[in-house]
Amino acid sequence: MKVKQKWVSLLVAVFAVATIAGCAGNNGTNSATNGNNSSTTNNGSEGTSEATQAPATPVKLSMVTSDFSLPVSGGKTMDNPTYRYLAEQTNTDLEMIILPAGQYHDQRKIKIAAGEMPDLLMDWGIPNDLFVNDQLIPLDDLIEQYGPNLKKVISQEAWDGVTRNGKIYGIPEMPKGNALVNRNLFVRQDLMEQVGYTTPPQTPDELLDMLRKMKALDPNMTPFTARENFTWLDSLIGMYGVSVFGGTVVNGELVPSNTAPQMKQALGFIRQLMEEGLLDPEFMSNKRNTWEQKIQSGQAAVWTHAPDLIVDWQARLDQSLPGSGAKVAIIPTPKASGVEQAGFGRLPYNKTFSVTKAAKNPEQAVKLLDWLASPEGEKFVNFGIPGDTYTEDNGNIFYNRQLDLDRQTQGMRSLQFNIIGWNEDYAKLQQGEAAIALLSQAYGVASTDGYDSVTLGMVNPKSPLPEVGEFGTAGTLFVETAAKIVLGEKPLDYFDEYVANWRKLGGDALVKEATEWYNSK
Amino acid sequence: MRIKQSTGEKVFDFFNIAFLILLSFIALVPILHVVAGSLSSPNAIIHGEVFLWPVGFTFEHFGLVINTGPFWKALWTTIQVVAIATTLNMVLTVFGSYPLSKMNLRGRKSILLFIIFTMIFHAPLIPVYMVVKELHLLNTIWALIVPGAVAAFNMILCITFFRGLPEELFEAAKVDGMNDYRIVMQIAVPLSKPILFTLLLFYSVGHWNSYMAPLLYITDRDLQTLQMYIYFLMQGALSDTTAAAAVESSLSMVPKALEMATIVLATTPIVILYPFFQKHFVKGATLGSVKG
Amino acid sequence: MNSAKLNQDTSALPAAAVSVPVQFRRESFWRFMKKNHGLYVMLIPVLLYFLVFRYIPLMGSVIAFKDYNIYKGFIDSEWFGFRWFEIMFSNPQYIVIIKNTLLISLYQIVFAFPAPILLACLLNELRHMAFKRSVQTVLYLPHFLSWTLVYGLAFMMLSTQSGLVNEVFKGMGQDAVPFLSSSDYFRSVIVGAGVWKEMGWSAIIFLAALSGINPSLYEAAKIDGAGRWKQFLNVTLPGLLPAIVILLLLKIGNIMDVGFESIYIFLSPTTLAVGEVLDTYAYRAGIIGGQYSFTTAIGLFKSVIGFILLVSANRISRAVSGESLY
Repeated sequence: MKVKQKWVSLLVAVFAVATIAGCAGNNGTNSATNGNNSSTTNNGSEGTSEATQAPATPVKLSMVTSDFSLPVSGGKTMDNPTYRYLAEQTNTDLEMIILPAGQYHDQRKIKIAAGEMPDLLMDWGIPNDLFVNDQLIPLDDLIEQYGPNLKKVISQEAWDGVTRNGKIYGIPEMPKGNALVNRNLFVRQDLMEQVGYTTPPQTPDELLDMLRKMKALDPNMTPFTARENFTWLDSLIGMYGVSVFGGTVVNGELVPSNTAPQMKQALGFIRQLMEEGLLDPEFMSNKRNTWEQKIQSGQAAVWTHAPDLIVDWQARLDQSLPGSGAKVAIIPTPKASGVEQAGFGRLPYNKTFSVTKAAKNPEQAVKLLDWLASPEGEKFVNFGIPGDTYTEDNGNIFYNRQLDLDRQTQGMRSLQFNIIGWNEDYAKLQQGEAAIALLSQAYGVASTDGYDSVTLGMVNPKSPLPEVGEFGTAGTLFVETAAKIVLGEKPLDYFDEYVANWRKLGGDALVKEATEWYNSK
Repeated sequence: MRIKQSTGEKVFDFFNIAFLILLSFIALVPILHVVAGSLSSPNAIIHGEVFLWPVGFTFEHFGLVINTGPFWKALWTTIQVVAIATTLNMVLTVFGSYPLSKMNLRGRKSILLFIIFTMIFHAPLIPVYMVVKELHLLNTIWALIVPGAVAAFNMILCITFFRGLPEELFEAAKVDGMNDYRIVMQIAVPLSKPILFTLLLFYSVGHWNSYMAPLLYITDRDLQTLQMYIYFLMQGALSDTTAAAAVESSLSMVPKALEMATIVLATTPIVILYPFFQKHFVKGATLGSVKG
Repeated sequence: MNSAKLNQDTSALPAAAVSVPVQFRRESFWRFMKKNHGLYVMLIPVLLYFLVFRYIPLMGSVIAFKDYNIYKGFIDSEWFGFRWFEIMFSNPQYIVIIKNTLLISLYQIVFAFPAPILLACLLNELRHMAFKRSVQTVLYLPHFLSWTLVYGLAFMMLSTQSGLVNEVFKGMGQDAVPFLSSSDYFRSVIVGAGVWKEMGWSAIIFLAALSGINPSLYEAAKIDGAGRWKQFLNVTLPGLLPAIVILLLLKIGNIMDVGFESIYIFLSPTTLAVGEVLDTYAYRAGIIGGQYSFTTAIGLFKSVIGFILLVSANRISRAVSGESLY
């Protein structure tokens, strides 16, 4: 009997302990380690104790954001020196919830569904489903009252981009380099000049000519390369004033750009490139690292990517093709005839911060963001904690870049908290003159490239069928069609079939909704 | 005494060995490529020069993975999780399978159906997350242990194996007055080494390799498991938004080589430990159990 | 009759260990439980686990019949009835998707299922232990590669531009074969890659089962003059039968599960017509604004079909071979 009881209790205990330990042990295995090893002195100079008023208890604020693919330290938010500094400057009891970039939207959805609604939400534009379900609060009054810096540094176009039904629902970050597009045409400048184009090609025909000449240099080359799911062809498509994203006005209707007649022209051009061997024939199965390798090995010389990565690309080519004189440059998107604005769709902001209905102290959110837009905030975002990674003396900043990099805090601060646009002097301190020279060139081109988006501010209507998808995003139907046309399996006119099919499956309803919105603007 | 082999059997043996060597070759060649890639220089990989042996031998990819504090912490966390979780798994599976291997157990069919049903009907992700959350398991290592306490598939395997054990042994034990628990521990378990080591292998490897659930349940990076650490590393290597300032570190991150290095690292412990499992897959594990 | 019993040497059955006297055969459930309460207590933790972590969340499947809105929650979301299923079936693509799913599953049952069994049997016939162990180790290694790596390897071998296999073809004067981009080869590539990756690891189960076969049965067969082939037919195969049947039945129950990751990675616009399966379709539906209801409905559909097939197959199996899952 005793033996039996012993076994019974053992079994039950094993399982019970497992569950109960979980219940009680919320803190048990959490280690409140200091993620960074600096003992940050609470620098008594600017901002810390502007306690001319009675020191108020810090206001609780939770913010969900992405890790932007950068390493993140563990432990409680307020134990992390960077976050703690920000919190102290703004009198906040801050909780950062940082989700992996690759699963940011999925995980955020799941957590919200389980009842974890944060106060402050980062996204790239106003999150539609939150807005449509009335989960965001309008910020106009709060900005008026608590956002003087925000009003100073953010452009009117950016505010317009985050306005819905006349009210502001998010605080936007100014775009990188103040450039309105974040996809541009990259070329190997050395090869471009070698084939006789000392000024970049201005039209599709000239681009075609240049690619032909490049291939003549090296028959193994396929000058232009792109990636799977018909992505990163934006510069080619952009020559016709459209994109796989967004909308175009055609015959009084607002249709998704991937169904517009200009897209058909673009596909025709891409098809020609494929026929002549000027486009990487495997591009539709190119994963990211394959694509990158083709460029790095010199197999491709022209591609599309984000302008701020020009420094990265130059460094990569310096390493993989040493001594070849490889030089990376960004050129304006050539314009097809009749097209006034070519390139990628313009976006006047980068990321946005929205405040949810769950926020008990919404003004705190605006105050925190306002501080980030202030001169002290700007220094924090760019250089870190004063006295730690930088010191200031008579208006001159001495920045310890290596320390900031070693701690892996530089990228994290700027990606998570930056609001202010391009500051060339600060950028020089951060990245060095050479890098800034490259970036200035890149941003210079990017700031005049691209076309104004007609769907700015629209809540995208969508259908549950993946083939129809969301208005302004390319669904599987488009990708399949584009692939077949480009590969020559179907004639160019098959595009019209696709459009008709898409509209029949449910696209018509989406177009109707979008057009209504457009006409009511 | 060996029965003489017929010619047919000798021919079979020859082709069997040849076939298995061919299969091994087909499996081994890509593996060699992976190992070679993990030890090759970034430029060699970019220019596609690597086949079966390293070109420009370097440990830098492994260095990128191992040379950080978080790696060792993640490794230790994973070892703890695997140890605790597998123990729990084995206890629950063995004690849960034994009764269900008794054909005369009343309610056996219904209970089996109860379990098998969950192998066909899967709960949606959000409710599962909510249950884990309500039990306060989130952000603790228990979230990686308790929700996976039993794998129905492994239970079915165990039940099937137990069913094959000689019934007379159990009846003899009952006659001797042994209670069920002792029967399990002293009769069923010692005779079941093959299946138990198989389950041990499946469970532990399953925990070692799992990353989707940990990514969701654990937000505090101090608690990350090895696979989570690797996921974040690869995410950074494959990112389009690598901050320009981090150029120096991203340059040596050739994603392909990095991935290969992480796989070699994650697989090596298992390869080392496998022979210890293997030696229990010997014929005649149940030998000597039935007295003639 | 349970064929597992065939494996046992029944000659030494102790007379005392006889089953219950006839007149008490239909004793009540509670009586049995009381007498064998140890067995039932052992089951409690396991059953509790399934209840809490499987059945309770399973109730969330109700969203397949609702228009689930994460802000309204499970209870307050609008009732949708069978509309998701109507949307599914009225989509002409759906027939193609189901066909793709079933075809790939069939290929898997015919090719991928027997492969580990055959492998285990072949390994079992080896007498040189060191060789057997090495082969076994090498063959399970591919299980640990990620599908992204496997895709990369497949690309290196099979791509039309630079793939090694096609280089050989071109060298021989033949045309390159579009293994990865043509719909003609998609299923073969997927199933083939799956076999290559999992064959060694799945064989472990059968190797364990083979170890559990009583060696005295082999001895008895040898004494009767059986050669290795006869031994295989009369001892090995019946010994493996329970495991084979169980696993086959489980695969049938999951017939609509063809593996998401592998297919998604190999899928390209040119192979969508044969490659789009329920899981990849559901994945895309989930991406667009998180259509959890739709994906749950698709999942429910898969499960119902699988379950019906499982019940039928189980009955057939019990009648034909005596083995059944439950």
